[in-house]
Amino acid sequence: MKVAVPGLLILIGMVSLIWMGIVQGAIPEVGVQGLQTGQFAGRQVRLQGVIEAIETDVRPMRFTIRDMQDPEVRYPVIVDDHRPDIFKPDTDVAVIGILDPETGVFEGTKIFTKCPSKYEASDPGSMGSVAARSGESVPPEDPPIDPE
Amino acid sequence: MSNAFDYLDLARGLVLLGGAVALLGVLAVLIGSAVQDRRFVLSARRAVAATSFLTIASAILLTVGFVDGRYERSYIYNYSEKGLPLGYKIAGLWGGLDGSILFWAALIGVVALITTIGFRRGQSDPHGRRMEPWVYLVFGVVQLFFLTIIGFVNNPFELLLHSPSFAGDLQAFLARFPGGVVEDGSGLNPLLVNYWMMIHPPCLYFGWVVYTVPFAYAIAALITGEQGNYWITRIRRWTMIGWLFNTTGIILGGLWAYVVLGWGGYWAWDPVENASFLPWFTSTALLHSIMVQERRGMLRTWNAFLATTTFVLSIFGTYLTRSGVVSSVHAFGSGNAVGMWFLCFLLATIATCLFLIALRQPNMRAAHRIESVWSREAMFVINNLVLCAIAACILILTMWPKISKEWLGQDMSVLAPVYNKVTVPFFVLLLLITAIGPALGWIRTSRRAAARNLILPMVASLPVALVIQYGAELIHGGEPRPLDFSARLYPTFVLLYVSVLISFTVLYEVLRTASNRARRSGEGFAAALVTLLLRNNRRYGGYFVHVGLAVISIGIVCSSMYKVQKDFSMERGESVRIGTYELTLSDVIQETEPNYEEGRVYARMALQLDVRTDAGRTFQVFPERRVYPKKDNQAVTEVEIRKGLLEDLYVFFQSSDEAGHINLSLFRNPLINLVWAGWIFMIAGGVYAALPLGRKRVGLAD
Repeated sequence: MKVAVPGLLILIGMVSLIWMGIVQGAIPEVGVQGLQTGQFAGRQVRLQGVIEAIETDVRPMRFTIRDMQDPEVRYPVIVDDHRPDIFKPDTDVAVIGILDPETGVFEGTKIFTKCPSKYEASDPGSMGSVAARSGESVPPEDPPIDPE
Repeated sequence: MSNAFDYLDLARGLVLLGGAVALLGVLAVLIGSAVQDRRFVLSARRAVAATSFLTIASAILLTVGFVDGRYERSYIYNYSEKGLPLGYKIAGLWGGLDGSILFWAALIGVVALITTIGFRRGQSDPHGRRMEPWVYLVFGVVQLFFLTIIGFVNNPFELLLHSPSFAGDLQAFLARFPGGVVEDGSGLNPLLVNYWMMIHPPCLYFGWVVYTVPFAYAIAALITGEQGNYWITRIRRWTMIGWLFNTTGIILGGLWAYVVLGWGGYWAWDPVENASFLPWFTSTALLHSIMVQERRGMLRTWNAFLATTTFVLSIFGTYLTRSGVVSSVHAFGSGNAVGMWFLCFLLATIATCLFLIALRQPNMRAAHRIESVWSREAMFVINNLVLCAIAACILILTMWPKISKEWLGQDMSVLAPVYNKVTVPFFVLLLLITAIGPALGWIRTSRRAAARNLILPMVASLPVALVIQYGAELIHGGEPRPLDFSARLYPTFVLLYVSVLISFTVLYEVLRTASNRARRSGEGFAAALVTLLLRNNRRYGGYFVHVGLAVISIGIVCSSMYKVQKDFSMERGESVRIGTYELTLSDVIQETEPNYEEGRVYARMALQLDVRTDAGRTFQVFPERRVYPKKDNQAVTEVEIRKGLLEDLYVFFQSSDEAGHINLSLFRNPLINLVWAGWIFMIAGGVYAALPLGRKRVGLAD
């Protein structure tokens, strides 16, 4: 009984903090298709999709995101954040931000691309050129831009 | 490969044989317990040992396959290549899903073997003889589960031809690999080609695997109704070893993220990170509550609960990581069949544990009750409750997207600030209990004695915490406001203060006890101190761990609250400034050069930045971006970190544009190295506490 009161206080604290944290801080996770419903316009969401075309990869980055299931559904995105290492077309991406209902542009403040997995093998059928697959060295198709 | 004998086929055979032997071992325990024949126990022991040998041999053969370049095997093809250095080829064993499960099973084999040796040596102990078959039963079931997955669900020995990419279509395979010869693999992702890849995952896996031993003993104690301290004394060192590796795995994971990912941080509350953290809380709680059972004969059911929960959480982490049930920045396997296997195993384990605990709880009465809140055992209990509360919070928040989808019909994402809001109050409480605990004695401490032990450290901590905060404010670049208890500074000061208090309470306790001893025994102070530390290595090793925790806490608080970040766009010859550093872009080096020995050519773009500090010190930094053609021209950033005693200068080359502008992110991370230094304290203290030194403890319960 001596520790019942502290135990009860800890339990009450835990439930209250989780409740407050979720109510104040949890945000909806939506696909690109979900944005079309209009229900999330002006609300902060975590938008999940696939990078389609990159307009600029310098901060603020501009690109088009497409739905994972329906590639026809797309939205323009502008993100003011660091460029992640794996920022290229056909990469799964999550952007935290708000859809501006007037411009139709999703304005993001944070971008996450998926880390290279230890648990997802690459498909031999989707890897670069045949030369690369068979182990030959190939020059990069898109070398870094010469600043000069 | 057309060899008549293929050692990788043999390796798969060993896995299947190991599974069959594990099943026989389980049956031997069940039959032996029914007929009460000791010979069945010996058979079970041999079965566990044989299964372990077979699994370890299989993992070694797969590693040989990596070194040997057997790229016709799908798993080796996907996680290795010719040009990789030997260390990364070996790391391929745990680099992917299938191999990591075999690696896990092999590590279980190692701890199972050591456990069987322990039983063989202590055959005369009647408690050990009662519990032994049930420990083997648990090992047998766990080994059988893993070997079944390796044998039938995630086979790391599968031929590339039979992998989902080709599904046995020989024409397609020959079109891709003329002559059917797979000369090279696709290689590890460049971001994983880092030396921490060789260290971090094995540490974490080993920590989790070692938790199987306390779990096995707890289940055995529950089945046999063993109420004494035998099983607790057997698991203490195992739990400590698991905890040490778990701690190391977590910290090294953070260090890896810090030096590689370019965001200047080390912890993001990602589900994968959380998964590694969850068993850490319950194992830490167990390490404390073991002492209460040893000394006071209390918390018997609770200890069984913690030992089983720690194991369950380590399996939960594996399930979370491999099932894709919750989205993460880490690309989990999604929709893997293995996720369902782990879920079933998890649910079966939880149901069994709850049933056994409910069955035995009425008989596991405590020998004593807590007599006062001002006692060490009461502090241990509260500490346990806080640790479990933190674990529960993290678990609920991690699973919230899934829970909200089921209950509310909408995926809700929980971001890092929510985790911080929810857990920081509990962390403050935890640090406070850690600070107060050593000042209290067992059973009851008078308020006067408690105050005497605490007042001096409390007073001494105040100026030190203020100085740390003042210094961090200075590095942060703002006006120093150490006494401004504004919304930002107040919680920071509280965290710093309780962290410093932990160190001072420990210091005061050590000095006071050594001084008392010197006075009583007539020894010199230094001799008394050394004797004290040697004779009570468990206690003082534990205190050293507390100091490590305090050091880490100070590092986390300062590096997160006082971090400075600035983004710049600059051209050659331009200078930028962050705090006391002035950086000038003096050169841009661009070249294509071979990576490792062969094959992995990358294009490289490095910046040469001349740095001058206000104190007149000069040095150069070279952040880079590399492009890997073999991985679809994946660009990887090489962060440059200039380490210092008080802060790190962290330089991240973001990108460049066609006009020649270079985009840089610069960070100043004050006292971040205390995070890594605190880990060294913790490990040193933990190892010291685990050493078989000192006198045999006689519990007050006895």
